[in-house]
Amino acid sequence: MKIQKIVSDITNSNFVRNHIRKSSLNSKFLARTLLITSVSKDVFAYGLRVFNTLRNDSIPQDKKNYTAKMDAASGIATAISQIGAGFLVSSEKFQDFFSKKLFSKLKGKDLKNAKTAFGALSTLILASVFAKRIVTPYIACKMSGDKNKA
Amino acid sequence: MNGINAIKGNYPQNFCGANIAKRFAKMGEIGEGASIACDFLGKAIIVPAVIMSVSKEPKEKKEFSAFKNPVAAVIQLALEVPVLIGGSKVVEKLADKGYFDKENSAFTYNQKKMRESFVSLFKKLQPQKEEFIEKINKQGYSKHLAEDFHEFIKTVDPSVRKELGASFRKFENAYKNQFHLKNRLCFLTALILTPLLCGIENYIHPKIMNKVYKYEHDHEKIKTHSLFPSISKFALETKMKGAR
Repeated sequence: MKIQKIVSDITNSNFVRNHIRKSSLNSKFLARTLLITSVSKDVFAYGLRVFNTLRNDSIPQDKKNYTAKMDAASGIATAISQIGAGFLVSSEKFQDFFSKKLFSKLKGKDLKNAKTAFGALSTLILASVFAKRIVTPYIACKMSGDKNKA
Repeated sequence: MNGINAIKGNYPQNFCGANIAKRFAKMGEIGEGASIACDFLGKAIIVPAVIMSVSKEPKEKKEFSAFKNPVAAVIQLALEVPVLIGGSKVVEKLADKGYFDKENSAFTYNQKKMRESFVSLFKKLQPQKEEFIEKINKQGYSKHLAEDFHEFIKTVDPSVRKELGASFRKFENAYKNQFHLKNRLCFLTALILTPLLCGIENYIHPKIMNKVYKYEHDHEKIKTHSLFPSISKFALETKMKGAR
């Protein structure tokens, strides 16, 4: 019961309530919150990977430095590319431009549904696949390669 | 040419045709499964492919770094995903028991209680709309359900509309509160799990790669050992035949 009281005190604090309310009412705020949480988790994970790699004796020395450099570069690149793609996809101009082109024949409820589906799909493809899985390793390779030459 | 037209805004007819637009209109929300699958495939296949094709480092070096991603993807799928899915169900159950609520507070995460009170009011005021009650009991809240409700409510008496509308709003708010709370708690869990997952990855990845390299080197040794004697034997035999 004591734990439940602590938990409910936290979930009913002004900060949590306001955050939850804002997430429900403001889709832009929600999209950006999700983006920040995703980026912070990835940057934290890449930081840990660099730390672990440099302290792992079972990794051969020549590979250790390159792997750590790639992880550090991936951490920086993922933050840049995800924030860039996320802000682009969640911007009203981007959504309106493609919605007008793609759904010019739809009206009312159908148009609203199509816009929502397009928003979700474009976020998944642009931010989760293109930015995170193609742009990030591409930039990271270039960054770690340049460092090696220097 | 089509690409240039598309950029300029002159989309070819089949591209912005009614079929694609209709498919988007009928599409539901993208599920957690699709998102997990996308993340897994991206990490396990696309990232190593990009690193292997872009990096100009020696093959072994870039291989070592690139194959960290499939290992991480498998660990994530085997450990993080089940924990988050299970955790999300636990949060749902606790929220539906009122674990996160305070007594006498209008703000609630208990969507089950709010749904039941809405359903009982709806049954009382609109007993003839059984299919809507069935739908709400089976599927729970969804955007489509909310749209159907708002369409339907336009046709009823204003006093009933006000009462039902207020009850539905409470149910909708409780559902959204629970949904966002669940997401934030899942994020916190994922953040707490990250050091453990990275630790496992750091332990397993070099072991796998070292075994792969050992196997490759052994394989190469066998090849060179078995190939050289036969080549030298062949060369010797030809030389001897020529001498004869």
